[in-house]
Amino acid sequence: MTSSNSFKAENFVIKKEDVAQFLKGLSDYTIYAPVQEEDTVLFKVIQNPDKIALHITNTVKSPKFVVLPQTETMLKVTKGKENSIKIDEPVLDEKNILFGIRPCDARGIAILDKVFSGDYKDPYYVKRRANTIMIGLACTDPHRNCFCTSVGGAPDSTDGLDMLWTDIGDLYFVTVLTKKGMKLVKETVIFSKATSENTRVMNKVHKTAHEKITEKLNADALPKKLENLFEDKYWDEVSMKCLGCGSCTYLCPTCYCFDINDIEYRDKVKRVRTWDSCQFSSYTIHTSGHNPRPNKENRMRNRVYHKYKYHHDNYNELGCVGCGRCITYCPVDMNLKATIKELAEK
Amino acid sequence: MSDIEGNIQAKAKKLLKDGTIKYFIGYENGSDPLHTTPCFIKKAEDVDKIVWNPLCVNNLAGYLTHDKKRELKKGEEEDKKPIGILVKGCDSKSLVQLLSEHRIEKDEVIIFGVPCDGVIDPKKLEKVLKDKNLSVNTIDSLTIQHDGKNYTVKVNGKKYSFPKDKIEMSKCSDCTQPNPIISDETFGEKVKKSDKKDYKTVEEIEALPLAKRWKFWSDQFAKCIRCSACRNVCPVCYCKECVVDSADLVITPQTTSSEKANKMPWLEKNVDPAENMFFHLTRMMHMAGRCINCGECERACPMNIPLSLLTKKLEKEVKEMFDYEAGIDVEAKPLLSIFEEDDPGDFIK
Repeated sequence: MTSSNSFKAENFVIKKEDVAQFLKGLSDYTIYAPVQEEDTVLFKVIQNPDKIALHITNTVKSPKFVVLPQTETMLKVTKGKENSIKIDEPVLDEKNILFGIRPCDARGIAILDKVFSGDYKDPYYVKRRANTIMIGLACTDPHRNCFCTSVGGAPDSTDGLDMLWTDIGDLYFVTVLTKKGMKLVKETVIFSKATSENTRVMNKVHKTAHEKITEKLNADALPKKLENLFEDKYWDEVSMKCLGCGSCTYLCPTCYCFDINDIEYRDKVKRVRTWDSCQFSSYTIHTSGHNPRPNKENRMRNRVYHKYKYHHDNYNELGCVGCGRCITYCPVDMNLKATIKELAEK
Repeated sequence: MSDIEGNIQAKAKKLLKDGTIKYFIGYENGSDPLHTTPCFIKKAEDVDKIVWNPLCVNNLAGYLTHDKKRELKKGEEEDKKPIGILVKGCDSKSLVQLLSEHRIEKDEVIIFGVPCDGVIDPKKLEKVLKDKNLSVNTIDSLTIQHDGKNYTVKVNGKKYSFPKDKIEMSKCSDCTQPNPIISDETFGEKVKKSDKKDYKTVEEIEALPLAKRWKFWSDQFAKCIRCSACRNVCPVCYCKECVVDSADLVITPQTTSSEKANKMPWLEKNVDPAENMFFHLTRMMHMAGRCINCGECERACPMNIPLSLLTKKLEKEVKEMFDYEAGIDVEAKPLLSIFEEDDPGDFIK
């Protein structure tokens, strides 16, 4: 939704030592960037640019929470005088920058854009998203579980981004992709025009990253294949070791299911939207007690169908960006890459 | 292939071939050379997949309760044959606990016991290999062997030696139960491990002033994303209805609308430090006298919350207050269902 077709991309460079100064100049914005605390790297609000950890391939949790928070108060009702009530809506005017977001995660947000600002416009999402600038960092060292190139992405994909930065040694090569991105560049004098030599190095870095992802899965075959595999015994087999927890869905950059609850406090009621997971048995339980997805094989099948068929049916693209988190962090080492391969061969 | 691995395969093959078991739960190679993964073998010809090595870290006992919660499909008949399962010493304690709570009965399971000299923490292994400039991306083959106080790790044909405490699961360092308590057949020689539990890490937290302890745990629980991996991986968290799921009421056609409406939401879905703390402490309360400290909750946590500190604390409290240890006696009554006159009551103010 942020990409503007009329904008012509422009290329700049910034010295690595000037990055901190660039970020410090963006004091109107809340800046989220990867930060390492003990063994966990997460996107956090940064005060001190020195703390940013750009060396890791990816954070544990995807940064989708900046535009789709895990817990969001939609409104708050308090008792006023006598029998009146007061309704407060959240003010969503905070301006955010996602700095160092990987292309897969930015594509994740581009996928969410189509869901939340397509036919139905989700006011909370739309507002947050319009206030968010995404500065991507091209991937140079993909993890073994990464498979972005199999699902329409790339280590240097620009989908959803306002800028794409590439590490070219002492400099970052900066491709400005939108007016929003250009505004940041124009505000400072830190950026200089990229030379043809800079461009040559940048292209080489991108090419090397592409070559590191050797495995190509036939994920494109799935939307068609899955048409006839709903009742396949495969789901019973592959889901046996699944624990039915929600770690895959909560770490995923494209999972967006949510639940809405009214929470009563002594003096107020809050309407709260929270993430939900199709892997939980409570996700589909009906008030009658009937659960259309009673078992883990039904729930795991739904996750795969949603990402590789239903989402494709609706938006003509896969609902997965190949970040590999669901494999890396699964407590029982469920392997989605193997699942894609096995399904494509059926 | 080790003798142990071969013998496990052979026995599983026999039991599958003669139809004694419906399937065998063990380990197979995982998505990368640093991991093994639980496997469910249904056919005799598939037993070659089964592996046994120090990367076999998962506690498989909890899977025995999965079948009980599964709804049968239309026309599907329940297979009442027993399940074959591989257990290490610690896992066997979970199994004993499940048997003592009658979640499973002895005739529903055929137990393959394997004495265990310690298992590897894949996160620690990845870290020490990284320090040697070995990225997980470049590892094509990895084998690992016990070697006295060290592990010998062979990566892409080259040998490295790491001290046990650098790569082993922390639960293994003071393991008092390396040999399966219960088994139908044991594979491999008995192993000698620690005589005494080491509660140093717990005591360090206990020694902190209250405000610091509060801050420590508040910060830890603030990381929680409530994915429930800790609960779902836990072998003794088998309830169909869980107190922490506000909507997960076991509803039958007889459940009245007022019962549904008045179901107390003990815990809301919003993720904030207070709700998160309630989630974890409630879970811990339900674990008292039942948790055998297998460390699976900590291992499963994607946010690296040190949950073993809590489970170890539970184990210590239960031992000190009631001289009780979970998972060692099939005939034992659950701690929280028994009352002795001389039970300590100091905590009731």
